[in-house]
Amino acid sequence: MIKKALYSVLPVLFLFLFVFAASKIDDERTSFRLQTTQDSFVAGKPIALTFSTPSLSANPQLFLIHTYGKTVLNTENNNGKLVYKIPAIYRSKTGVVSWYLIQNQEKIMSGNFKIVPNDATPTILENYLGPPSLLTGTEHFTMMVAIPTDSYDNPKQDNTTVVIKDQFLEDITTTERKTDYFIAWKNIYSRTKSGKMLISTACNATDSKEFETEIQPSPGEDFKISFSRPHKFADGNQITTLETSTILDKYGNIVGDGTLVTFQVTTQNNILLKTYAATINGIAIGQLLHPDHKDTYTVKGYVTGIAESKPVRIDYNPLIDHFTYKFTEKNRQITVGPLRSFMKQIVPDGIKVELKILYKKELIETKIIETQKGIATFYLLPPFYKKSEYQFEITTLGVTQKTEIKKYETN
Amino acid sequence: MKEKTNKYLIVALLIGVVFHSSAIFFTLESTYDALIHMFFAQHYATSWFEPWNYSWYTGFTVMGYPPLVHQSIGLLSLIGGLKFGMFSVAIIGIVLFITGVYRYTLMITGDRNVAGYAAIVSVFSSSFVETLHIFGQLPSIIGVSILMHCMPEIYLWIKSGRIKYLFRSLSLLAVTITSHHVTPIFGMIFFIFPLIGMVVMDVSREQVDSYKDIKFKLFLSTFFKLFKRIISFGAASLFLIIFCIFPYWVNSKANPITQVPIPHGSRDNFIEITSSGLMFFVIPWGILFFILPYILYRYYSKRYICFGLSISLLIVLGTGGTTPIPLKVLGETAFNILTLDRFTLWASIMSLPMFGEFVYRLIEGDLKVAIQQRFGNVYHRILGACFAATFLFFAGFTITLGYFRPFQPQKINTLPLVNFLNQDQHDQWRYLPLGFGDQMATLSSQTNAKTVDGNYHSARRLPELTTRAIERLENSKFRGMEGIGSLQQFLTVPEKYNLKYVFSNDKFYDPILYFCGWHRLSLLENGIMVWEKLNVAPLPKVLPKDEVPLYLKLMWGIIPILTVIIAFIINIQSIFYKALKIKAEVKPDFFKFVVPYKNFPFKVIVVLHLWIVLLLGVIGYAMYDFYMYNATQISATNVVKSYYDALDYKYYEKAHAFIDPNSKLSISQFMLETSVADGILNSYAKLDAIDIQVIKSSDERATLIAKTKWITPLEIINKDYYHEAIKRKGKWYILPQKQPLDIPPDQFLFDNTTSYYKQGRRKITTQQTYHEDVLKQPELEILSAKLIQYKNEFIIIGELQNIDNFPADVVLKSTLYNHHDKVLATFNAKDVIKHKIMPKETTSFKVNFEEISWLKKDVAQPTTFNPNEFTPKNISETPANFDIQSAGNVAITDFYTQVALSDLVIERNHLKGTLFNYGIQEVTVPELLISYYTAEKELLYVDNYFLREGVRVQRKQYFDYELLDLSSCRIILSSLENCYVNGLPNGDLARTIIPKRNKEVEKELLQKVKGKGFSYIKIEMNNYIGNPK
Repeated sequence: MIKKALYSVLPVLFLFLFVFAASKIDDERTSFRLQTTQDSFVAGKPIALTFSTPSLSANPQLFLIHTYGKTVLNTENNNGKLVYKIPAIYRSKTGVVSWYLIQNQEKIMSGNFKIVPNDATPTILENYLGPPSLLTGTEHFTMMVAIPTDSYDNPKQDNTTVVIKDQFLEDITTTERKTDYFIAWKNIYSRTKSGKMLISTACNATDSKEFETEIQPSPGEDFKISFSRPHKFADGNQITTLETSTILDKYGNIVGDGTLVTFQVTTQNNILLKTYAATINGIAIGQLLHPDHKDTYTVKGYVTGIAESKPVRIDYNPLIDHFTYKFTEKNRQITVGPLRSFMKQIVPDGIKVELKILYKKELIETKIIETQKGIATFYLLPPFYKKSEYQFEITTLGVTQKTEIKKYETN
Repeated sequence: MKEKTNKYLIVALLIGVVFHSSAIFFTLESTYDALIHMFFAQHYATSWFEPWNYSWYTGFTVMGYPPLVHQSIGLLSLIGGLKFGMFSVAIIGIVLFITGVYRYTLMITGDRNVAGYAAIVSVFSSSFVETLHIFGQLPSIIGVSILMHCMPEIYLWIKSGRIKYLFRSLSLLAVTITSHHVTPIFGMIFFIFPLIGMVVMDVSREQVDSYKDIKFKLFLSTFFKLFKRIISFGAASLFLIIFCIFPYWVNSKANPITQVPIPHGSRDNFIEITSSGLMFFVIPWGILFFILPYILYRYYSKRYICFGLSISLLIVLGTGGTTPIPLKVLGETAFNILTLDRFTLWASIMSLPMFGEFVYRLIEGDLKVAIQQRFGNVYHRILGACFAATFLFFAGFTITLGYFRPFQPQKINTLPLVNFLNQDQHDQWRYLPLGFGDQMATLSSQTNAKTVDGNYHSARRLPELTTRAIERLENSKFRGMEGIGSLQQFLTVPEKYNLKYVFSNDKFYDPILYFCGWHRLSLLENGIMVWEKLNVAPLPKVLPKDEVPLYLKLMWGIIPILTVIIAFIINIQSIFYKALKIKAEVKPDFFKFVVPYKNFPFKVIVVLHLWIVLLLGVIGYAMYDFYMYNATQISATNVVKSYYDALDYKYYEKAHAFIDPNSKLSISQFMLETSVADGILNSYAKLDAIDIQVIKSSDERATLIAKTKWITPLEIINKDYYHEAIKRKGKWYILPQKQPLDIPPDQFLFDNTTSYYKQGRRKITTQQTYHEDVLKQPELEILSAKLIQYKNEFIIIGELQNIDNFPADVVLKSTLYNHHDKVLATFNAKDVIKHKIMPKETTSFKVNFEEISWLKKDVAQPTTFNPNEFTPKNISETPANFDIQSAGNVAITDFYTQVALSDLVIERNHLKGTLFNYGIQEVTVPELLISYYTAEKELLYVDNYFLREGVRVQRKQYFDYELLDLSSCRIILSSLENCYVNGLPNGDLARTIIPKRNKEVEKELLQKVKGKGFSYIKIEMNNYIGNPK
């Protein structure tokens, strides 16, 4: 209880003491006069505020509000003259500085002055350019922003002239811009040709380094495709090469390397096949395996949603029109072939031979084996094929032949 | 009489220190735990009083483990580095253990010779060897050693009531507590309670003539006489247990372990899982198991009866899941948290005095006499030799186990990794090591960079980790379902954890990294591949941490070392006297209770013989069974199984040995045929299960079907293989399989592609990248975006195109909202998207909203692993809206587009097609993205399919994909309104690049099919190149 009372009494007690002490000191109210008449200073130069006062002992403080922050300055009363030196770090930064002369916690005088950029120091140029790449055309632009400053990094006064120069191929353009709210800028429009554009700025005697922006080709326009192949047979082994014409954008520039082209193949049965290729120097070369059966391919190239080609038609002639097969080992082994190609040569290894196993016209299983030396051999293991009879449908190189029903021993 | 120095103890110490301290340099760093302790030590060495560690998980407190050993290593590391500290502490541990066994045995038997023998055998005791050289459990060793030092003092306090013994015992107990918390808690029950029983017994004995005369009444009255001393010791030790590691208890209360139980071998059924049985039962028991009847016989004598009960309980608890008793005794929670091997360790340590006694009696005591009298000298010698040989064999076997069957990946040189993390501000992101084993702790202790993973799972806080029974993300492939499932989540949404780099020491994880949108950065000189993810923000400068009060920090930092200092001061005098024999010490009381070793009972010899014969019988049968099961060519089934085992471990030579020799398949041809076939199954799969069924067999020939189940990082693959086996000269062989015969058209081919390079910073500087070196983000356009509902799951699908001239890495994040714009779920596109796309390339995408896997306990966890399986986020409300934030960043690798769809047949709801690779890189894992469209050519669904085999250069690969039934799939919302590209609304910039997009053309690219619920499909290819050339 006593403690609690103490807690509430003590602050009051302290307040009295303080007021009493303060009134003891504050016995004279003195007047001050600002002697410094200058209200604009150049950044980096010494700045001092001089006050005069009749009192020889009064020693007020100068409270400063500056962009960098607030501070309090002290000085000595030299026969009624008070000189406050602004700290160096505050002197080099431009802006309005407000000051308050304070004595005994009370504001006596106030005022402000301005610090302006120091044009006598070498100009420094800060630049930003973006974006660093553009598309060809007339609407796209990159923006060059220049901020000229004095050596203390203070932006120059508005209406400082900045020269913005850009070079593209043979052209060099020079433009003068005035700073407005510290910055000078220019939208540099793209060109219809692709290439590298260099941009620089200058202000007073200072030149910037070179900046660059890449003018890149716009999306391509429609193109043509062509094809080439070693032969026109559907051997399932050779490769047909599909090639686009040089894909150009609407200004005649070759589209960017790596532009993906989809070659879509439509077969006779309306099945869509595809192969992809990326352009190099505007040309995309895709490859396509020959079908292993007679077919007609309609190929069309696409840059999805952007450009396309007219379709081309590719006919593949059949390699064979029929083939032979035989049954051995109690009909368990079926040998297809030898398959011969267009010059009676044995077909390349790896031709797919498909065997459809039917039991009472019902498809049981499809087996696929690749040919070796033109021959494909199927073996029906008794444990897996236990029925007493099977019929087969053999398909290879687009030709389908149906065998007769074969009988099997069962155990 | 002046006491002589015990020469056996000196011998034990000399051999022990030389043997173990030279061996630890080869074993300790590849043990399970040592490196973790080193990492903790590094923490204390750098910030002694700060318990928060940022390196692991997303920050954790080291107050979860008693600090003494770590702090000691940390202190010593200031002299000679961390490893010096660790080895020094290990050597101190060895000395403490040997002397501890000596003092403990002395107390138990009261015979210095026996104690000396026990010290010698303890050096080679297989449980100690295993704990030190395989497990690396330094705190456990130090804890139990000090406990053994403490026990004679406890005995003497209770017996004599002299206060100095109380102080000594408590000072030592405090050291035990601060080095390992579990040891004193269970030590109380298993060591100190029986010890008290023994003291009571001894005091009772003094009142009567022999132990036989001690009746229960006397025992009880003596107990009450000593009750004050017992209770004062008990209370004091309880106080110490709480006080010395008080911050630990506070922390356990504040952060209760939420971790779901992580399977541990010591909880297995040792008969079913023989490897666990070996590690956690056979090895720690070792030779002791052969003389178990003797140990029990001795401990069940009246004086030691309490020890007898204690050791019986320990033996039973140590059997883990083999018997149901441990589970019942401990209860489910304790059973799942504790590693039960420690019970076996304690049981074996408790047996050491009796083992020492047995050896003493066998070599120079009454057992020798008894055997020699009955069976003659030769038999005794042979028996002794066999005994010694078995004993040494166990020690040798245990210490070399890690050499012959490595538990850890090969030693990784961490310097390149440390350098990588230090350069170019790479440590401003988190990293994730994969396939490092426990060496991840070494890396953590050498770098300031942080990882999302960690190696002390009790300290985990991320629900992504605590809900999963995985040890570490790093070895997630060994944890099947849960492991890879959670790894995938970390890899899919890495920005959540500021995870930018993955260090892969295991090729297994490569495909999932690629398909989650990561790319290879560089191969470090230690062979570790660095993977990087774009569009991940660096860690914030200030990371969150749990603050603890200052007094806890001070307690944690001061008390442990203080306990050592106090224990040292209190005990130093007696140690000096004992070691230097300066002053004849009063013989401690337990010397009065020596048992004279006379007339070894013949009954015990008989029982021992019977027991050993029984054990040998069991071992023999087990070995025969093991041989029959593993003999490779004894049956057709075995040869097929062995063949797959050999293939799984890539022992091609061994696999080739199982191929029919008459088939004339040379090893080089076999290698060629087996290893040419790259692909997910051949290069990245782990054989999870194999079931071999004999379809048909005769004496000489058999047809088998091998139903295999493979775990791959992407999905689970079930594949059946047909094999024919043949018997030649009593051995079974496999007939070789047919290989594809396809011949590529060209012998030599060339290829032109555009390659890319990013300079990064053009100016060499440690500053952030200069403004002009920052590349523009590639412009993307989202062509369509839809919210669909399929099988009760909400999914975002759509299509996206890179419309820039730069290739792009695409990160796509989608969020679902309800009617009040409250976020319901958010996730990234995982593997159903092409993350790296060329200029003007399009990709379909799908975002599944994954719940943090199996967060809810009631959701049944699937019993088999399927990496594809995840718990869909339970979205209770129907989402009303969604947004998509996509970001493009300039990518420079992984754009292999030279795979053509060269044939396609649509029949019976299957897509059967052929891929043809016309480029010059081998495609390891081809992925198909199959987009489904409605009759109006509206996108309806996107699915993916991984081909099991790769596509080699200029070769075909066939696929067979079953089309989905989408009749229940429903489009809820189709809108591009809230889609953003690089932070700007979708289409705003796109229209300036492509003013008029031809939407009709896109529709020409769709394949007409007759499907269930859809009418068109589109097939896209995403090709992963495992080994770019």
